[in-house]
Amino acid sequence: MVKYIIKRILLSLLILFGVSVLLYVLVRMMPVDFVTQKLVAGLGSQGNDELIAERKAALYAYYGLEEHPTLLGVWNGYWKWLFQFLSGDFGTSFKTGRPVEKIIFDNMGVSFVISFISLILQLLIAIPLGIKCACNQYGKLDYTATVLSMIGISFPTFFFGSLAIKIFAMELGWFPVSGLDSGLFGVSGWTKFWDMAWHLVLPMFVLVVLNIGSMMRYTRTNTLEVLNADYIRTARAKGLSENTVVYKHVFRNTMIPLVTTLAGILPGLFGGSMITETVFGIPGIGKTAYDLLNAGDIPFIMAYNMFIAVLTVIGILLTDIMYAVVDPRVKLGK
Amino acid sequence: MADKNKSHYITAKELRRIAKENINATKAFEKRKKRKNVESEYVTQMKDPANIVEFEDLHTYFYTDAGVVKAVNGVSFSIPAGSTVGVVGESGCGKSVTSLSLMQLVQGPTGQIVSGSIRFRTKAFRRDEKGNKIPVYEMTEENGELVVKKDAKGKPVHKKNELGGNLYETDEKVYDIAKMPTEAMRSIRGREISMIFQEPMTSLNPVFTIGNQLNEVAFLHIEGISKQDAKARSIEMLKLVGIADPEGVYKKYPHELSGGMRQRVMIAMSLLCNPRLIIADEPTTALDVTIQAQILDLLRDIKGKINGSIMLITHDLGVVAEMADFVVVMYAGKIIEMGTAEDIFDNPLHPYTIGLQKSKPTVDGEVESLYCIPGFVPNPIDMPDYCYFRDRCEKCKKECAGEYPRLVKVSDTHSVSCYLYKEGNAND
Repeated sequence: MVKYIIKRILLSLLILFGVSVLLYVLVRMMPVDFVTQKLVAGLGSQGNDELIAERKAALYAYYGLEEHPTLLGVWNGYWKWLFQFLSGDFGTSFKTGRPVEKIIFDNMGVSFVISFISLILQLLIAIPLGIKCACNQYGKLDYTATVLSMIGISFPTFFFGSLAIKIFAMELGWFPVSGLDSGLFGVSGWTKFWDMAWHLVLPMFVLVVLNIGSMMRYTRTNTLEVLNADYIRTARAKGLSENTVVYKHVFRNTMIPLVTTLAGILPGLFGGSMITETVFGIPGIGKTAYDLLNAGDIPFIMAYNMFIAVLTVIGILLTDIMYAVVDPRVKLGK
Repeated sequence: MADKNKSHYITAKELRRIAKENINATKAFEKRKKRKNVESEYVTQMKDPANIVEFEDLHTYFYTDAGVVKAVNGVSFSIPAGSTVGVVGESGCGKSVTSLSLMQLVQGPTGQIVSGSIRFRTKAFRRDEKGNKIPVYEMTEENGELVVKKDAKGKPVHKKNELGGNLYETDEKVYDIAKMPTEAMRSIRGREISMIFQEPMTSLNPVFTIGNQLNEVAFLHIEGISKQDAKARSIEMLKLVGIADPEGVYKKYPHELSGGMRQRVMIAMSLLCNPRLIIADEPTTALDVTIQAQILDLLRDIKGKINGSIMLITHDLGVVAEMADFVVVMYAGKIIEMGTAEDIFDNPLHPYTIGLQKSKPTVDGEVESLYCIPGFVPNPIDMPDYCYFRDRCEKCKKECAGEYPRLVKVSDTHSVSCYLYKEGNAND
């Protein structure tokens, strides 16, 4: 077991190296880079051409970029970035001028709270609902849940988010349109807390509705498959009540494929949700990433994506370990 | 479907009609299974008190999208106490569905017991007005009076039954399983009728240990049993079915055992509560021949020990010849011949039974090629109204064009459903 985990971690390092190479090359190949954007924003298109060219060259040199990336330039840039990264210096954001790790950790909190609570809600609703639907296949509940979950799966986040804002914030006025707080000053901690919770209801609602569908369908399909298994007939033949059959014998077997979905949870929890946060104007890691990605902020993009990559690799490793925990037939090793 | 060429083609209109009819039919049956407190509706009397199970005109249908499949279509036979009854027939003739009907395990909502009755003699719990079981307590004499014995905490002490569980007041009753709601059926399943399935490889839950799955039965049906007693009982059963290392197997998961071992575990599980009837649904089909013989020996052994009956379902005539006292031959959902094992093997009457005997491989005597009954079983959705075997029969007569032949008694024990034979006349 320990040997297996060590082996997997060593393998993960190799994967992360590959990921970083791909990422860096892709980021450097982006059609619009940070310098061009900064110049367009700062100087506009007017001005002395020569002056602009001079300033451009100076900026490219300052940020260690090239106007037309060459293989050698990217190669050198990558190694420079890698050695800095490995020595613990994750770089300074071009746009904000702050250390990248500070940006990530400062903005992670609110994203984590949103993702965590909506994940718990998702699990609490999707799994029991999936099992219930499977037990009453083609019943009223099954059809209703299927139709609703299909609608949830099909809606794009930005559309459903905007729709929710339109209905619940603008028409009904139950929740604020966007932001994290109402900018209250001099109020007690609890008032502030409730204010923030009030702001987070809509984004969480959107996240839950959009993600519940796939998990519920997944649970339903797996449960249906297990319900037809021979050992479930054996369990019934013992005289067990339907509840024991479903929640003991069926559930444990349904859990096995569900564990696979664990792999995506970890990066989802800490990485934020880019589109939802942008739609609702929540200053979480997702929105920050979206803004800085648009700006072509290479140090941040690299660090953020490496962070997600590390979380994904850990998530997959945890999933494999969980498999062995849930299913006695799986033996880790070799 | 008058047009024969179109018999496998269903129009969209017909499909909708079938789906609608199916929903209406199955809904009513599912509702009937969920009734509560209706004991009076399913208490009946046995026709012959020597029997433990009596099937009478049992119909079990499957409401499929292509139409109604009459898997069991009017089956009547009985299982005398302490005997082994073999049910034989080719695949798909309804023998497994008959046994599943007896356990009420036919997969709903598609499969339903439509009519007929399955009478089973049961040791039913006597219930008080609230529906609770009435316990029997230990009595002691105190000051010359009989009073309930109490333990240190002042709770009354239960009298124990032979399995080490709490004793409750019971009555010998006869229930009609075909009419019982599922909830009431649960106290019969596993306690009085237990079942050994065809596929030992998949019949045990892969995520629980053998011990866990065995104890579950004990905890469920032997009320008040302690954890140690349940474990002891499980290990005793594993020993009884000839497992060499019962303590080791107790802790193992099903995937760590071979097919034969798993089937032994299944048998151990079925024996745990001393059932009156064990249904063995092709218990040896998935096993190789040497293990088959061992499992059959084991079953015969056990029948003597628990003093119960066995309903043995198989398509292997050799197995039946070895094990059964009575034999029922089924074809396309109906019984075509039944009698004692001697009747069926020494004097088979129905052309199908004769064909079955002929198609059995033998060791002695050289046979060029194995006999094969010509033709196919008719389409189960669209059964003809004459004898189902007519189109394959070598001895077909003029009368065979008429309605389905009645079961005629050719001797006290032997009956056959064929126009070749008349009441009391076996030599035709």
